[in-house]
Amino acid sequence: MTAPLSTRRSLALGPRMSLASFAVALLMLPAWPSSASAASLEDIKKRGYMIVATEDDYPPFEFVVDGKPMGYDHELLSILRKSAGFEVRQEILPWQGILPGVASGKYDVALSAAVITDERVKSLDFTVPISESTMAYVKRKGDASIKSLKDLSGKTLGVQQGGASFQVLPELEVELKKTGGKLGNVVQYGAFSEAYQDLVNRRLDAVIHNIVSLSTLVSEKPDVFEFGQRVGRKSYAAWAVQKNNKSLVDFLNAFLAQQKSNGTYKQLQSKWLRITFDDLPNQPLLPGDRPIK
Amino acid sequence: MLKWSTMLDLLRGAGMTVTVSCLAIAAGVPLGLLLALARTRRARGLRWLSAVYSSFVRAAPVVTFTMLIFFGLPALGVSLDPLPAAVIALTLNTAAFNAEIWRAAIMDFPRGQLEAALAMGMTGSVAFRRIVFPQIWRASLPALVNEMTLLIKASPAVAIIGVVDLTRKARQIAATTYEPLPPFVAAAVVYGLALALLVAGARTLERSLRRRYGTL
Repeated sequence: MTAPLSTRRSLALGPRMSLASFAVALLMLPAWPSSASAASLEDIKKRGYMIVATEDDYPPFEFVVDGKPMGYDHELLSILRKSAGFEVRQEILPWQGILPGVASGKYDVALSAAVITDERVKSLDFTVPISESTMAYVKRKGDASIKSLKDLSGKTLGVQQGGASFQVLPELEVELKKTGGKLGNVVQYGAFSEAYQDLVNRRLDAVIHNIVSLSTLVSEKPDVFEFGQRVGRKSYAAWAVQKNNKSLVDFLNAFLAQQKSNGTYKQLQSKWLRITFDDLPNQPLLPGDRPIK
Repeated sequence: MLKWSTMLDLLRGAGMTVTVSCLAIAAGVPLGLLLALARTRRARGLRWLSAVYSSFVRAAPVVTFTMLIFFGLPALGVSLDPLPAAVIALTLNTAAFNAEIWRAAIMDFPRGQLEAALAMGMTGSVAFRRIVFPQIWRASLPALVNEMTLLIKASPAVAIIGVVDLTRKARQIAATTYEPLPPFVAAAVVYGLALALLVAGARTLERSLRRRYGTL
C-alpha cells in the first residue's frame, strides 16, 4: 500500500512528468555532441568567469533563508570569490538538476557537498573532501522498536532519489543479512524535508541521510527525532567537476588546501556543521577509505 | 506558523510563478494559433511540421522538456539563462496544447461563412481577421482558460533549472524549518487565489461576450 503512494510523492517534480522520462532525459544528456565538454581552467580564465551550481535545500551545507543563500558551502564560495582572480557566477538549483548541469558543461563546478560514491566517480572528478559524510539513520524520538542497526530489518526506510542515502542500501542489506535480517520497504523522496515529515507521520520508521545533516536536524528538533547509528562505510563529501577536468580540480584543491592550513575549514565547520573533522584526507576517497582508480 | 519575513519570501516565489506563467500564456496563445493555422493549411509540409511538433511536445513531460532546453541547447551553441529557458519551455509546451484548441475551433467553423466572405471579394487574410478570428477566439476561450490553469499548475517543473517559483520557495522553507506543512499550505492558498482570480476573470469576460453576441 505504501509503494504506489510513495512513488507518487517522491516524484514531487510537477504533474506532467514521469520518472522514466526523467531518466531518459538524464541518459540523453551525456550523449550530446562534444561542444558541451567542460571548460578547463585555461578556458575559464580566458572567458573571465566560472559558473558554479549550489543547492538550496541541503542544510547545513547549502540552504536559503528569506532568499539569502547560507551554509558551509556558501561561505566557502564567498571566500573563493575573493581569491579566485576571475568572476564566480552562481546558480542555485535543486539537486536533481546539478549533476546533469555539470555533465552537460552548463556549470563548471557542482559546489555542493556531494558524497563521493563508486557510481559518481564514473562520470565526475571530485576535489579533496570538504566534510565527512558517512550515512546514518534517524528515528522518531523514543521509538523503542529500533535500538541498533540490526533492528532496521524489515522497517520502512526513507532515502533521497539518486542520493548517496539510496546508494548505501546494498551495504545496509549485507549488514542486516549478517544477523538474519532483511531490507524492508524503501521509499525514495525528492527532498528530505518530506521524508522527515513522513517519519513523523509514521509512514516511515527511519530516514537515512549523512551524519552532518542528521545531527543538524536532531539539534533543531530534539523532541521529535533521535539520532540512530552509522550505516555503511565511512564516506566523504566533496565538490565535483566533469570527468578529466584536471586543471579545474587542481585549482579548487589548491584553494581548499589553503583554507585547511589557515584554519578557515575548521572555523566554518564548527560554525555551520557543529562538528569539526580534523583528519579529512588530502585526496578524494571512496566509501571505506578506498582510493579512486 | 510562518514568520512574516518568510511569508514575504514565499510571495516573491508567487511573483515568479505569475511572471513565467503570464509570459508563457501571452506568447503561447498566439503561437498556438499560428500552429493551428499551419495545421489547417493545404501545404503538406507545414501541416506535417505542425502535427509533429504538437505530438512531440504534448508527449514530453514539462520537466524533461525544460531540461532539454536548458541543458541540451548549449550543445548546439544556444546557451540560455534559467528565466528565459523556463519561459520558452512553458511557452512551447502550452502552445502545443493551445494549437489543438484553436484547430478544433477552426475545423468547426462554418465553411459557408468563409465562402460568402470570399464571394464578397474579401481576401483570405481579411476574411480571417474580420470573420473567422472574432468567432473562433470566443469559441476557444473556455478551453484556452482551462489550459492556462493547467499551465500554472505545471509551472513548478521549471524549478529543476533553478527558477525559484512558489513551490520551490515552499520547499526551501521546509528544508530549514523541517516542517513542510505550513509553507505548502500557504503555497496552496496562493495558487488557489491566483487560479480563482483567473477563472473569475474569464467567466466575467464570457458572460459579457454572451450578452453581446448571444451564445458562443
